[in-house]
Amino acid sequence: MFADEIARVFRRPRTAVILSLLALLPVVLGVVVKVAGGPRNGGGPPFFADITHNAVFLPAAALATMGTLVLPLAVAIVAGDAVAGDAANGSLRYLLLAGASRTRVLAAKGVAALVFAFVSAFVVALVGLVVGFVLFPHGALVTLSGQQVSVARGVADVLASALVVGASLVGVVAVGVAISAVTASPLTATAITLAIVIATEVIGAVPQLAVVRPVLLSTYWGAFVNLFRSPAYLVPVLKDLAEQAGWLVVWGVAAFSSFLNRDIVV
Amino acid sequence: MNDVIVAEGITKAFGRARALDGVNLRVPGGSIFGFLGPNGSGKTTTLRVLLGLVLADEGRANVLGASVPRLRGVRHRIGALVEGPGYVPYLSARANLERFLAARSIPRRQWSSLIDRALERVGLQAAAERKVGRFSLGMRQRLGLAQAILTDAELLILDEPTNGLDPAGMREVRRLLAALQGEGRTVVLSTHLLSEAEQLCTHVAFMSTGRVVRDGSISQLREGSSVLRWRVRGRPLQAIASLVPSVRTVAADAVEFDAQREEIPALVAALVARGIELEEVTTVLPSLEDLFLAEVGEGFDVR
Repeated sequence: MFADEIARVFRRPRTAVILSLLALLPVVLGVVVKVAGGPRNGGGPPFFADITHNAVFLPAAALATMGTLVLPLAVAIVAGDAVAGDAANGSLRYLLLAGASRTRVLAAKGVAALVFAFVSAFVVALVGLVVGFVLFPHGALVTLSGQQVSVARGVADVLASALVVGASLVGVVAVGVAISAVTASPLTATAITLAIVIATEVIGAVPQLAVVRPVLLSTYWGAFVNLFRSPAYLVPVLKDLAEQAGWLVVWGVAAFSSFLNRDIVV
Repeated sequence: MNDVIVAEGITKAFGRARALDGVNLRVPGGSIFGFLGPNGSGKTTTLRVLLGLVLADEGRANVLGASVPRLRGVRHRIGALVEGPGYVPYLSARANLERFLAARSIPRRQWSSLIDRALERVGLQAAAERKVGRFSLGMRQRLGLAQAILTDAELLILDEPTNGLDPAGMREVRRLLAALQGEGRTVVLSTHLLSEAEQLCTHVAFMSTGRVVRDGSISQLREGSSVLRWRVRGRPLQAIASLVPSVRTVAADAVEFDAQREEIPALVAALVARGIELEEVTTVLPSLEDLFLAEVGEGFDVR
């Protein structure tokens, strides 16, 4: 059943559209930087100034810019649809009538949304790598801490970054699936999830609310950039993973407790 | 045969609206059990409770010996169609049925033969690979039936199974259900089409405002009815019609009316005293519609 839930997500035409749009952004980014050049005197978002120096910074820059809104949006769409989509179709009741326990149905849907989150991060990273190698130099590179490392290490860093960015989306998946489990409207679930994501980013930007920052969903979203140090600085990454695990547990418990006791009237 | 469904005192409220108000029900094994009632009487909610989709506030129920709502160990023996079919529109009929089989933990190697057999039984084999989003209402309903019979369930719980079908399709479904009962299965169907139930069912329950007001085999219900339908043949018919109570029909050669058995001798005496030539006074079996209206009343009131 887990495989079938994953298949349902990826056989949906809309999923292909979302992934194509995600793949398009690194392409656009690469072409724009190639044509117009990088930002002068090293400004811009993380890695932007380095793209013209080395190919691996294109996927890194794409992950950095997309990781705070575009990827969470994509994940919120799929996670919000997880249970509510089936409820809206009327197919939720048949999954339950088939004999799948509510626990298993919800777990399968959560896993499928998680898989999508990681796939979307890897799509951005891999497309970015390919476009970067086509458009920009791809020799040895200089890390954020100033040492020179091989391009193979750079590629490995990009793949590790995709993994960390995927993991950073776990909290969004948990929120999305939890809300999806209590409504029959996928759009509502997606909108509320996105509202929570944006709210945490807004709260995180208010200095007076710094005290709550450590538990906000988005606080460590940029943590993967520390992988591009030599040696990689893992503390923020581990904090990010711990944060996401916390959100997964809290929202996971909420999702299961509501879904297991809910009347399925759609 | 034993009862396959036993429900006692089921109540359920949605907010302030009391949908079920103490439902008691027994469904004998091997029957075609018609669950009849006006729209909004609680038929679908009762079926949802029995299937574990909606959790009852009070009361107990057993289906195939397992308690509701968990239905531990018996779900795979139940096929159901509740409030219309529900499908993922961008998947084919086959892929939708595969999802159901996966959720039912049926080994993958059996999928293709089970799906082919079920689709053939409902006449959809030619549409197996088409996306369900492009199906007509009737095709979706057939696919819902295919899903209900997909894994040889011994108990079928079908909510309005002929909904959306044309007359030929309705007849096919009735034949299918009769065949399924012939194979030893129990079929529970809800409907507001009394003629459909009359043609098909061995047992019925009448539901009204959240309660089962009457249930049993159709023959029991007919015999137990206190008001009988009578047919009088004689001359002149118009005079007969003006003298008997509760006239139902005046045909070319007979008048039909409702009356209790005890009223008949006096009524016959009165007709004879008025000089009417009586040829025949007989009871006719009340139709299911008569029985239903006697219990539930006429009109469209929905709580």
